[in-house]
Amino acid sequence: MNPYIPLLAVVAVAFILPVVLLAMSSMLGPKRDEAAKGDPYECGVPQLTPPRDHFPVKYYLVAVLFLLFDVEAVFLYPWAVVYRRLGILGLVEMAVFLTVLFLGLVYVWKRGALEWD
Amino acid sequence: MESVLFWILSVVAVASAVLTVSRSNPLASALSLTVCLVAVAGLFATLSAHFLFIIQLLVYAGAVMVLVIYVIMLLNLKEREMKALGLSGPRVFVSSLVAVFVVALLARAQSGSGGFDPVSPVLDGSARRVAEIIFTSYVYPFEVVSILLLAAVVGVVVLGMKKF
Repeated sequence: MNPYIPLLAVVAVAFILPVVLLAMSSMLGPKRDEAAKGDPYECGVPQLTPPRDHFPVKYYLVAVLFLLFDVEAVFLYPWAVVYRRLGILGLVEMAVFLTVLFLGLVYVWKRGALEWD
Repeated sequence: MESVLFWILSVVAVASAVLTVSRSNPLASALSLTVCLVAVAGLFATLSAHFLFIIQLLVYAGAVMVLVIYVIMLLNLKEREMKALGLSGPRVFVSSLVAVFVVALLARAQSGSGGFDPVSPVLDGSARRVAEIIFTSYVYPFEVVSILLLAAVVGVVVLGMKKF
């Protein structure tokens, strides 16, 4: 049997289930639209400003830092597959790599880029 | 089996790519792009490039799409501004022109290499094989990558924490 068939079954279920649920919801659910229903609810106080505002740039800083350390983690996957065969040399290679990036983490921490306020 | 998968994934990839450029709501475009990246990841898997498959999902469909969605949140376009982003005559014309050019280029590149065979793997792309190459032949570039990432970390902090 092809090893991808269980994977395809998962993908098929993940696709069919939401389609069926959304279709059932739109066919069976009652639809009574009123203007007040669409309003953002803020403790009964009338809305003053649009609910979606600009996000501060610090969110983006966190996202880019996540991306960079994610790329670091990507190299750990192939290393974990072969590290027994590489022996002590492989350990040293990865230690150098991680040390350089750990310096980056120390820098981020010291500069206060992880502080929220 | 592989060729059936190839066609399904290709249709999904092309359809979602068209949706990516044709939607006027940037979030709908971003979601279509995510579907496209996942479909391309599936194509990598059918070519036995398992390492590339994981990278595509983790880094592109995961981390890079987070960045794209953050940019959309930061820009925070209004309905009126989104209207200007949809398809229009000149845009369709220019993108069709580019698409035809790329397809012609790919067809030309294929013609030298014995025809169109999208499903047979060219290389062994398993994580084990990739790891053996990275950690033996390409150790020095691998270590340089850490310096590159370090420079990127420093750059992000310097630019991101600048007070305007």
